[in-house]
Amino acid sequence: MGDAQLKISETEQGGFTILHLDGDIDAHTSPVLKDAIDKVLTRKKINIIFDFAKLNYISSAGIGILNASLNTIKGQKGKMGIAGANKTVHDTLEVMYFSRKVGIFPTIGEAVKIL
Amino acid sequence: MIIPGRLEELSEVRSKIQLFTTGFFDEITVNRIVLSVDEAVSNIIRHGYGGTCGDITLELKRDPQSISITLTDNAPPFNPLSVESPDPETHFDDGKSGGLGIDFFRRMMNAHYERTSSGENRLILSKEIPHENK
Repeated sequence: MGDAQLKISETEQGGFTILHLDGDIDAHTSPVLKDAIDKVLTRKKINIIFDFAKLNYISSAGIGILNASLNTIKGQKGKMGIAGANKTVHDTLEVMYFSRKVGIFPTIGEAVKIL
Repeated sequence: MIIPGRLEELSEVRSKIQLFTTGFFDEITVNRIVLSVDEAVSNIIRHGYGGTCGDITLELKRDPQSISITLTDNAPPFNPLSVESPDPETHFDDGKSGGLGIDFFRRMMNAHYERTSSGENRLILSKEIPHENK
């Protein structure tokens, strides 16, 4: 079966950096997420949308990193959102209370429009 | 089955739990059970063994009424059920990143902790199978 994998690519849309996540976020792969976010956080203006369309799974390790990012981004007057979460990932975000803190949108387009 | 105490093994653990529960619970509940075990195992590896070598024994049982998942480890004594639950209203604002995993499996599963006679930590997570899936 092998280790869980997480691949992250980056695009830009409507003034937002879009981080496209492909795979699983758990305690093993969460450093990959942290590294990708840290690169974006060095920039002057920080608006990030996380594209979850190809994210299969997230655990509290990932949510912890997203929360730390959210606090940093808010501190720098930036915006952050999540788009395209599947049913089970969306449930995890809700049950772990994170949906109270960050906007979760069906698509990247809607996230860009509303944030 | 024996799980080496390495984070790389989490994916394999999830696959086993997914296989064990599919067909007896709906998709959301299967994921919640998978995540509960992931969180418990991650906690043992990161905080229990803390980077040292250690194995975790995983036992899966199912009867017509319920499932149970037992995790046994030789890390220093630790009862995850004694940890205070985070306050959802303030947890994230406090900048905290930990504590969610234990809280999650305590809410999603029936959890029982004991120290075995040979000094191991044993966590038993169980859940009743819905009537329509029995």
